[in-house]
Amino acid sequence: MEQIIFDNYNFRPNFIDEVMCPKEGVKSLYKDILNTFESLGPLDFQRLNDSIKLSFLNLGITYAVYGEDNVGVEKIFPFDLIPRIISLKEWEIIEKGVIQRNNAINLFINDVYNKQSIIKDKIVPLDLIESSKNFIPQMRGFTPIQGIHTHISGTDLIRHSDGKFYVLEDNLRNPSGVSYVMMNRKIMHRSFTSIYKSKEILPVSDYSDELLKMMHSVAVTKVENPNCVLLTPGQFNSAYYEHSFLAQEMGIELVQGDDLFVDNDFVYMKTTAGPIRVDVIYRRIDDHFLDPEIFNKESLLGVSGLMNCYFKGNVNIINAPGNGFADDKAICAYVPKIIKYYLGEDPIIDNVPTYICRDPKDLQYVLENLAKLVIKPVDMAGGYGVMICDQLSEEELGVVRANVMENPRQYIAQPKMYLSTHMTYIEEEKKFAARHIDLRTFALMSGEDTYVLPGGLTRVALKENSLIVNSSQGGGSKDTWVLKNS
Amino acid sequence: MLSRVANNLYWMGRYLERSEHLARYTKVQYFSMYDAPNLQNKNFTLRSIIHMTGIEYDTQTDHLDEQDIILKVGLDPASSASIYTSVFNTRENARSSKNMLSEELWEMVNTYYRFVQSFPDTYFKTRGLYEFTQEVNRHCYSIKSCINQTLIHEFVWAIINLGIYIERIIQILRTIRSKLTDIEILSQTSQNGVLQEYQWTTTLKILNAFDIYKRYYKNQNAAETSSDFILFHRTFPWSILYNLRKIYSLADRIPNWESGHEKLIFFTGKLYNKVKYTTSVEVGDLKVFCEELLIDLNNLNELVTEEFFE
Repeated sequence: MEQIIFDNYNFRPNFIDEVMCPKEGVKSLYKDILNTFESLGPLDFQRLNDSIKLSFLNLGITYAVYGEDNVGVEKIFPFDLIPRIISLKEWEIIEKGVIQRNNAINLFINDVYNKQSIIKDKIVPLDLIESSKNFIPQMRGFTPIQGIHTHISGTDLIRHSDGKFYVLEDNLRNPSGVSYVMMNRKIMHRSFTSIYKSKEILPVSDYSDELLKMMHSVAVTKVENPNCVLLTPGQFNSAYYEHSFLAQEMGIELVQGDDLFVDNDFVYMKTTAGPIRVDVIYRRIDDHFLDPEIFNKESLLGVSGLMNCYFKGNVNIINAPGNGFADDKAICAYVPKIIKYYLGEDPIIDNVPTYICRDPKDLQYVLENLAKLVIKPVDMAGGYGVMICDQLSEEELGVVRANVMENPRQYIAQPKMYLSTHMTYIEEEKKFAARHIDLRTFALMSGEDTYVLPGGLTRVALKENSLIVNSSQGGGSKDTWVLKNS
Repeated sequence: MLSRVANNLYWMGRYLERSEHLARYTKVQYFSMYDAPNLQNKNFTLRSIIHMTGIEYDTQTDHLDEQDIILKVGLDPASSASIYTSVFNTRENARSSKNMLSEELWEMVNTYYRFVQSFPDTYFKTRGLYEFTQEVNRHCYSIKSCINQTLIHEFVWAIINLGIYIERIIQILRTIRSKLTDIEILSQTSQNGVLQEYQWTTTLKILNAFDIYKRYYKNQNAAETSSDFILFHRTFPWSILYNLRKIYSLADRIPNWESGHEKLIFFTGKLYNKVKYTTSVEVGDLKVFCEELLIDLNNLNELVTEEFFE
């Protein structure tokens, strides 16, 4: 039988590869899995790849791309068969680092909306916070149930060429992608049972139970089964699959704005048996669309009067409104100081060094070293607006320089990070090649403790040499294993 | 259950059933022109398909474009009356209430949509009609079986099935009405009685009833017994009476804390008994009888909408 050959693997100089060493070959963590793939042969491997793709399509784990004729073509979020493996030892450090970071950020948000000690002590400048369009003045003086703002957080990590993990950014509003983690595992299980039989991999299927447990722990009324719902913008939203998946997994109602109404400062949902009170809303819509009485007046996605119910303590909202200023990329640069301030500890996972363009000293450095840096808008997600300056022409560089000078508050700069690479199957070329990856972790902060989903979502940049892993920019994902005995 | 979700589940059932009927009507009617005695006129067959499915097409012209009509009925996303649109709506209604369905059921509905959506137009209009419509029917059987096998037989299950059975009766009545119109046209054009009787055979085939009917009535005259069989048979799954009984028993499965429970039981019970205690002789003009029943079904649809979805 013809064998899969992993020779001629394209190492990228200056980058760490997760799977292979240039001299020693396959790393010990990956030996078993690569042996299994090798034993399959190219034809069976391709068949497996096709069958997994079909499973994604049949399950509707897709997003629609609209052409000029306005007809949606459904595409799957590309999934790569070769899993990313993290040793338990390394994972335990990541887990501690993520918990530490989220605890500190949560304390920071609550402080900013209440006592503002960190501002008075001149650790973080007030104007940087208040100039964020995601700072919500209406939240001043309000502490959510159990003081939790960041119930669900996503932390994006990369492994740099020095072998260490760094935090690239925090997602404290509506981090998405967790459904892919769970479905990647489920579909791999379905199609490739033999691999899972021989490995002890930390499970990811607990996530929805943990999510519901967390929601119950922060419910307004301490009843046995508080009524929790997931609020979605609707089925045309690109993350709708995830919304319906999570609602189904938790066995809760998936509601839209129109399904809810406010009466006498309580929130109710319209059901076939009449109005039923809602205790906790896991909202997957942005702050500015939550309540047309307070935010965007044109919003049809939210619920009129919702914020009033929230402030009166009659409903809890997950995540708390107003978190967005804290995942502003300029604030992210302060997180090591924030951790030190609230917890008295050094960060377990370092930040990617960040230059804040609104700071005149940093701005000067950025302008002098622009060609070596990566420029990012402070408030955009999905890889949009990211400029890797050593890939730009002189003319393009001039535009970036002008933009940064015109509105320095809007930008931060970071050195180009050497995201590690991972062996990835390139379907068009029927070969295995190194592609850059990152890792999004998911943490749930409940009244009792913080749960971190083992492994998280490994995103892979499928374009050769690309450092942008976001799905909107041609990225895919991998099943991510944390091996128990490693 | 959320009122919006109940509405979506109901319409998921209705569109699912509609897609099945459209496919079967088109298949049987189209191929009937090749089996008919004295070779049935092609334009007559195509007009019948246009009339029954409700696609927009100028039927006055003498040059009906067979491939164009077939394509409009089958795969035209722009036509609200096409099989494609029914399947699309089945899937969208399922998608918007996906968290109430079993994963198996959602996967089947989604696979059904993917089959229709990826079926090649050119192949469909030249050689693929039989294969396509057969597959549509097969998908529908599988999905309905999955509804019964994977859902708890309570409210979600009941509301989907309510949609299925209401749509089925509507489609049966529309089929009878359409075939009665065909028979009228044939008699106006002095076509022979054999061809008129053949329309009843076609009707039975459209309603999945032909083989069972033959076994049941043993070579009796189709025109005299077909309507009886379709209207009043107590246990045949495509008879009006059987489906009304199903609806009545579904009403009883709607939990009694739901506000519309009592009204639905009363209305469906009354309608079931009205048909149950009508004799063949009392039917009189079959077309009028069908029209009246269609009005009753429309009222039932309004009742369900008012009581559960608004």
